[in-house]
Amino acid sequence: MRKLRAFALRLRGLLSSRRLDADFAAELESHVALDTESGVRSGLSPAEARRQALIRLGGVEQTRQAHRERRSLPWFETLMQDLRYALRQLILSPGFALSAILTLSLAIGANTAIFSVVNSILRHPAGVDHPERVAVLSTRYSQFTLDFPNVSVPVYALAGGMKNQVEAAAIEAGASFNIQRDGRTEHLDAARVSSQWFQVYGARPILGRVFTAEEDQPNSAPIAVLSYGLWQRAFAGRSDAIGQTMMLDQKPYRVIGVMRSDFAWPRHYELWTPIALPPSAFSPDEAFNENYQATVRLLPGVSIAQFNAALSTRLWEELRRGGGSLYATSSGWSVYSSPLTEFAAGPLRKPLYVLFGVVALILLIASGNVAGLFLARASARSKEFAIRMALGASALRITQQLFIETMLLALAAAGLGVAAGPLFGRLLLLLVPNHLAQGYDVRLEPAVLAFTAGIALLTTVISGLGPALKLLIERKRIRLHESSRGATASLDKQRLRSAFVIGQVALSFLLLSGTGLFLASLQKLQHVDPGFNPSGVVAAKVNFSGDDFKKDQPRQSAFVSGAVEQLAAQPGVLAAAAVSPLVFDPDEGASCSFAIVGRPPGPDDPGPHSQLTFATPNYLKVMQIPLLSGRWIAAADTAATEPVAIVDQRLARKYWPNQSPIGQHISFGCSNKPALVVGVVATVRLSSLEEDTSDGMRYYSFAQGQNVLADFIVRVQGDPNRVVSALRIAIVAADPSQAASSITSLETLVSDSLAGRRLIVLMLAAFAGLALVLAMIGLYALISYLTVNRTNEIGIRMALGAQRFHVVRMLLGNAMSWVAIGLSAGLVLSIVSTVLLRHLFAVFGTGVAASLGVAGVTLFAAAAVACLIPARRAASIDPMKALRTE
Amino acid sequence: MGDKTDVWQGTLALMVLRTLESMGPQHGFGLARRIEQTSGDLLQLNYGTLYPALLKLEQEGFIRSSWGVSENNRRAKFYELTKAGNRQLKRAAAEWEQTTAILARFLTPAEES
Repeated sequence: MRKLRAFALRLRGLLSSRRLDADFAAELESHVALDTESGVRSGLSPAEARRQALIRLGGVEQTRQAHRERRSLPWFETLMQDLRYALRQLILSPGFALSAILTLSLAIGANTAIFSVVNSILRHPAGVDHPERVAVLSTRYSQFTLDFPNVSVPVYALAGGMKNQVEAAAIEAGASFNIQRDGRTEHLDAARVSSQWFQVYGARPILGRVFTAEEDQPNSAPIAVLSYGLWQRAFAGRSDAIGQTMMLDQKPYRVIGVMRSDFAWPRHYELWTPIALPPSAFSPDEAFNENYQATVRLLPGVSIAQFNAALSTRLWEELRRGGGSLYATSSGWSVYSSPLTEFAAGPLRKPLYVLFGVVALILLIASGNVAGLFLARASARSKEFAIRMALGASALRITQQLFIETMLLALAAAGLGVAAGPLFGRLLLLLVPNHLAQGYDVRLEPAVLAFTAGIALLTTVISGLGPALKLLIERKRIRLHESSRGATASLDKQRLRSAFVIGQVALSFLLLSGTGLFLASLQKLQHVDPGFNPSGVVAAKVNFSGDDFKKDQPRQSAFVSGAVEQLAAQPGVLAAAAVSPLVFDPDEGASCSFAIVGRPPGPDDPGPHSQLTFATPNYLKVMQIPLLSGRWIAAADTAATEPVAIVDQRLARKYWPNQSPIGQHISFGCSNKPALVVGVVATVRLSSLEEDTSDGMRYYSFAQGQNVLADFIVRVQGDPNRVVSALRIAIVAADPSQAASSITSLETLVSDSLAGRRLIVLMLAAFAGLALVLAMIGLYALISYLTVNRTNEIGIRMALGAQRFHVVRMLLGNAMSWVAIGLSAGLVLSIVSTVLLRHLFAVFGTGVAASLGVAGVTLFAAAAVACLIPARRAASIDPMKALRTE
Repeated sequence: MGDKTDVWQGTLALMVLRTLESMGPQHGFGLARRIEQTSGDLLQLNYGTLYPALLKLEQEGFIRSSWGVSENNRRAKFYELTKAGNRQLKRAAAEWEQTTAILARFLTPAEES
């Protein structure tokens, strides 16, 4: 405490130093007077008495100095002195300070932005406690090249029972409810979850409670937990919502809890109800029926790899006992878990990693630039250092001085960069297409701040202090004479600076050519023919409302055919159809194994497998998919007639090579019932223009199957937006209990499948532009600096008869040779990274020559411009003036 | 004069506190004089070193200072002990006594048993 008080007083001493100085001078004066008086009294002459008094005191100045040091904080005063000096130095060269700060803060801002996005998406999904312990279970069928994040109920139950590894386990299936609000039917995305769902994510309600295991049983009273958003909307955030009843699909649900605003898992779901699985769902027969998403929270200290190993052992034990091991072996079946963070980022993962690499390159380029600036400055100040050292400054003191200057710049740049970073980050999320960015929020977290601030300081200190230190170490001999008449910049310093420029050129080339490559791949992907014509097609999704409706096949098909009829009658509509699942809808898709009648699979053969779709008669007409042979589904194919199937060309070629599948019988959907193959249609892309994920497709009549949702699609003439309200009305008119939840154009869905790629191109273009500008600044600064240093030499050359042209050529030749070295290094880097990226991205690596060529020419031209300006300026000086400059 | 001892680090503060306790408020010169006298002129005190020590004690709150008038009508800055200073004196004196007592045991010839 005493120490603290003394420290505070000393701090105050810093501020009122003049007054305290005067006070102490008076005290010393009185001291000397008292001592002198006492000397006089003992018989000395006044002069002698005063002399002795001063001797006893030990010198007035020394005493004052000792007192001053105790009064305030000397190291702090030195620091302040250095700070003031550093500030003066920076203000004296605003060009240097500004370009260093701007360059760095741009790079740091870009890093903060990407890192804040990476942090919130890849490392810490919002609202999840200790996300590294949460794992998502996935099933893999290596024989069918299938891999999806769903599992069956028996597998989930087995994983949840592994109490040595698992703290909590939960299962989820999507649900959807319609609620009536203000006389309108509103659709809610909901999740049916088992009782430990919230425990797995470590999510706590802000009001009420979550489900108990007893409430998660068949026939228990319907209850619901609301999301924060729904609570605000439906109950205006009132706390008495708990215990109230909500009508969901005309059935009363009691509200028992409200979740925190940051928890929405699955993303954008608004309501959770107990899944209440019947005992039959746990039967071993269901082992390969993967309809659920399952997540587990591992016990602390259990790694995902350990859990996976244990899970696999347990599963095979169980399979051998239950007798399912034959199918599992032949189909290459396995179950594994992966971290939630990996799963949650989904299609954003790859682009984010690429961007992370890109911003790291930007930071490198920026530090190269700043290092170059600092080096030029240190060289320009070599005389100043020499004089200061000659006057007695220690190398340490000069280093401290330089360090403070560098830190000032670093702090300014880091401050700006970190402040701007999250803004950039939000902008970045705005650029990300909606369906990818939903549920993500860029927040300024201490980890993000610490990371970027640390990077900022580190880069600046290394790039700023490194060159200065090097200079200082070399300067053991005081060389006041350098840079005096006749000297040209020493080769050594030139080499270091040219290394920075070469590095910058190489990295900029890498970014430019990378942009070109990704652009070429995007263009190529945009021209991929999906096998149907998405332009002019609008899709409206109707999640069937009510358990009764979902099981009532006749009512479903009545609704669907009624709605399709209504839709077809709307003005501007050319054709209307219904389908389930819809291609390119990221939330939909179905596939299963099937049998070909009369062709039983061999003992090691898992049998045929394909995607499947239920569609109405006009589907081909709306989608403009060509019919290759036979016929398509007709209005006459109803529940009362024989089930029919249409296969696509891929399936036909795979299972009926050199013969027609028409007339054969295959399974109806995933059931054992047979269906007659009546036609063959062309193959279409399923989910992405990037890759063809289709194993072949079976189409069945919507009127003969049972579904949980229908996607209504209409081909319109003219503006598709005009039919949106007509679509809603037609659907409600066909059945007032059903409502469209989302309406989009098919073109948007198709184009969204390239969103990740588009994001990379956009970001890369922006960053490559930034890199180009940075490299130009670096070159410009280098050439300016060199020409100024060679003014004398140029003067002599011109006096001896060299023409302007010769001087420009000499300077340019010098610089361009560095550019050429940088370009060659960049070329090697580009080729290496192209090879590496080709494994990560489909359709990558086309247009290599064009990309490299354009990048090279752009960079070369930009470099020439950046070099030409200072070179021409240097060459246009008057030789007499040049010879006189020092 | 040759065998005068320099003031040990840290002991000056204790001497100042003790002197102020016995003399009451005193100015710097008076304190310096008194410390020299009390030591029987054995201490070589550079008067100038007294002032940083006084400043430190004042910053720590053990003494306070104010301008006053000396016995022969001269303006001088007077230092006096505060309550905290009194406590500190007791504590420091006790510590010092203990230290010297321990050292004394080492330095007096041990009685062979």
